[in-house]
This record gives sequence, C-alpha cells and structure tokens, in this order.
Amino acid sequence: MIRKLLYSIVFGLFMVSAACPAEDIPRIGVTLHPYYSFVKAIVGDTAEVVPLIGEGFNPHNYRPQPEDIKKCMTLDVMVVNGIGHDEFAFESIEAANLKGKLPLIFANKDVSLIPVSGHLDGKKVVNPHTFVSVTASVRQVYTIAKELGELFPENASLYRKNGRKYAARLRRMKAEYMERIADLPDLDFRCATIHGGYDYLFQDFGLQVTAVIEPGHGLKPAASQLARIIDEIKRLGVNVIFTEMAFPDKYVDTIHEETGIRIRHLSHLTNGEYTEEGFEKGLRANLEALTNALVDAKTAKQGG
Amino acid sequence: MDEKIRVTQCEVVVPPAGGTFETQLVVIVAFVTIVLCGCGILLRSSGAEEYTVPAWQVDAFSDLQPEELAIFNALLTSAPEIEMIHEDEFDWPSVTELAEAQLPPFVQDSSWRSDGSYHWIRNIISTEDKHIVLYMGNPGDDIKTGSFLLVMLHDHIKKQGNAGVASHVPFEVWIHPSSSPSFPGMSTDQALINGGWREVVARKGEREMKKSRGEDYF
Repeated sequence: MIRKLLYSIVFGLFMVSAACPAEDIPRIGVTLHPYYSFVKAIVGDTAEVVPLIGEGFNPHNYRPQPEDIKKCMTLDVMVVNGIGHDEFAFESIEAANLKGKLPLIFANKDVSLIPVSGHLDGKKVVNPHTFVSVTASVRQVYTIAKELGELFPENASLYRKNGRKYAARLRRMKAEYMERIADLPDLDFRCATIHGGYDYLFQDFGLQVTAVIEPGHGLKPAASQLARIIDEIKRLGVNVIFTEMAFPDKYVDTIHEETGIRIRHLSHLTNGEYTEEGFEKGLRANLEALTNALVDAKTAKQGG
Repeated sequence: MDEKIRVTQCEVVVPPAGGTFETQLVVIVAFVTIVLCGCGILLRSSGAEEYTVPAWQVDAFSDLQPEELAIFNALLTSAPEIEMIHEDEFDWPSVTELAEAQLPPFVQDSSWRSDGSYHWIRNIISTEDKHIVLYMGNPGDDIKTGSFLLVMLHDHIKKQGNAGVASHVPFEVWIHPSSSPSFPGMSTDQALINGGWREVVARKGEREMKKSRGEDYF
C-alpha cells in the first residue's frame, strides 16, 4: 500500500515535471542587422536574439507580414531604432495589440543626433543612421546593455561587462584605420554620397559630406535634378562619390560618366546574414573603403 | 389606295444638354468636401512646437559647428565609459589613460586633428567624497575657438546654485566661447554660468521618438 502510494507520488511528480517546460531563456527581438550583432555580443548565450524580419529585406519599404505579428507575441523585449528605420516594428506591435505590453528598448534614446549634412537645399534634417558609425553605435551598445540589465537583473553585470568589451573592440577597429591615415596631411577631402546614411561614420573621422545626391532617403532624383546635381558636383570639386553597396542605382553610373569621379561603395549595414560578427565585418568594409578613398585623394592631390 | 395620309406636324424644342445642373452639383460636392477636410485638418492638427533652450544652454543640433558637434558627441559617448571606469576602479581616469583606451575626443588621431586638436586637462574637485571631476578641452589650433568642459558628477546631486532641475544626470557638457578660459573651481550651474560657460544640450533620440510616437511609448 505504502509502496503503491510512493509509486503514485513519484509518477505524479514525473508527470508534473514533464508538463512544465524547462526554464526558457528570454527572447529579445531586433529590427535591424546592427542590433542583432550588438545584442548578441551583449547577451551571449543568456538569451535568444530574434530578428523581426528575414534576411534580404530592405527595412525602408518593408511591410509587416502576419508571421511578424505572431513573432512579436513570442518576444520578451524588443530593441528598436525608433527614429525612422523600423516603422514596420511599430506596425507589428500595434497589430499584435502589444503596445504598452511588450517592453521596448530604444537604442537611440541617449544618442545625440546630427543633421543630414550636404543637403543641397541647406535644410537641417535629423539623421537616423546612427548605427553606421563607431561612436554613435557604442552609445547605443551602452544603452542596450544597461536596459537589458534592468530587465534581467541576474545578468546585469555580465551585460555591462560584455557591452564594454564590445565597445572597446569597435574603438580598436576604428583606431586601426585611423593609423592608416595618421600621416596624411590635412587635406580638403570632398565627397558626395547617394543618401545621408554615412554622416555619423564621417563624423568619427572628422570629415564632412559635401553633397547628398538623393533629395530624400530612397527618393531617386528626376532627370532635371540629376543634371543640377552633376553641375553642383563639378562645381564643388568632389573627389569621390560613395554609393550604397547593396542597392546599386543606374543614375550613379550616369553621374560617373558625366563627371569622371571615382565611385566607391559603403554599406548601410542592414543586409545579409544576421550574425554576431556581421556588424564588425560591415563596419570594417566601410572603414576600408573610406580610408582607401582618403589615401587616393592624397595621391591625386600630390599628382601621383 | 390613293388615300393620302395626313401627318400632323408639331414642333418640339429640345434644349441642348448643357449639364448645368450636374456641374453645379459637382461644384457643391467639391466645395463641401474641401470645407469638411479643412475642418478635419484644423481640428486634428497640433501646432509644431519650436524647440528652444534657455539662454544659459546651447542646442547642440542647431547651434554647434560640425567640429564642435563631433567633440560633443564623442564626450557624450565616452562619459558613460568614464563613469564605469570610476565605478570599477574608484578613481577618475587620467587624460592619458583615456587616450590609451582610444576614447574620443581624448585620443589624438586624425579626427582629433580635424576637429581642432583639443588639449585636455583633468581636475578633480576636492570634496568629502571626491565624486566630481572636470575634464576641460582647449583648442590647439588658431582656427577654432571655444573650450569644452565635461563634468562627471557620479550620481552626485548638486545641492546649491543649480539653474536646472534638482537631480542631475551623472555627467554634463559645457562650452565656453574663449579658447583659454580659467579652470572652474566649482561645478554648480550658477558658478559655471557666472564663469561664462553654457551647458550643451543634445537633441537625443528620445525627444525625436516622443515627438513622432507620443509619450505612451515610454
């Protein structure tokens, strides 16, 4: 009788434990590739990092899908840019009726924003591309690490430590490329960019964008505007034109044919695979392209 | 057979279809639509608030030169790291240590040169708990004017002479029009304002987000 009772207790406990799933690690949603890398570097294996949209989609014109809305419902927290790069996330959150329920970490909360430089009409517009940089990205890493630590206090010190380690890694990478251009004399470097996506990166290097070609982010210039831009680029004595690596445009070839100015590619860092190293790889490619352009400009000025 | 069929003739005047009534109807509908939409826009629109800062502050986004904005943003990013170093090591890092850690704007690289070759000095204000440090940067070239001051308060609530709110963020950035002002001996707002300093206020992402999404997201 006692044995039966013991067996039934043991069986009951077994059934209860089987019914309860193992303790889940938190699921942290991210809206853009850089945030995947930042969060992964901060949390390591203590949380699952979940991209809200699949690889290969352009976040600028992405429309939320039903599966995105379902995915939102499985998250414990979401890291967002919040200043113009992930409208789809807010649409998904509202469609899933999670507004005010799903904790959001606004990566840009404490970032000091800068205007889009080189606007040919002289307007001062807030630049949302804070993640195409070292300094502004580091600021976001600190914010994300701090707020994740507040949400998951048991890992707060680990997140703080990992955040600092990652920030130091990004700073070291920047220093490596600064070393390459350390001996360059102060040259009057003039560049045009397709859109205002690289201002924060240029600010890291003490550079200014001379002209931005697209009248608005993602808006292609009309034929008459293109003619004006070509004249303006010639007048301003631009050394190099930086275009987007992932979304090449035909009109850039037209500008190149008309002006003869060399085209170089930078990345917006919001494409390809979601990996922890993805941001550093993309950033390295950008730093490589930028420092090569500076070295070339110096050689050209010296008549080399 | 030969009987003639007599046809009675009558004239009816058919007016041309000028569509006057339809035209009037379309004009009235268009007018009503415009009036309704106009009322809707007027009722729903909220006037865009012009963001202004008090006279003792400077708006980084609209008032600083690009090089100054670069230095300010670098200070704003390095300040949390300086704070964490202090928390871990119970001491404020020297300017040399900050440069060795590659922290901008202290590290003397190519961007440091482009932004005005600012030279930094540290001054720990002697208080009972030694929780306040000032880092002052003066331009090293003749082109730039204006000095920067990073005030690290380490969660230390300033007690007297504050122009702003009572509780402070752990750090503040101030700017002075002179390229060689004297080092402030006190870190209260009033002392700094009296010395010719103005606090630099960032246009942070938080403000932009609140503006576009509303307060209920925070």
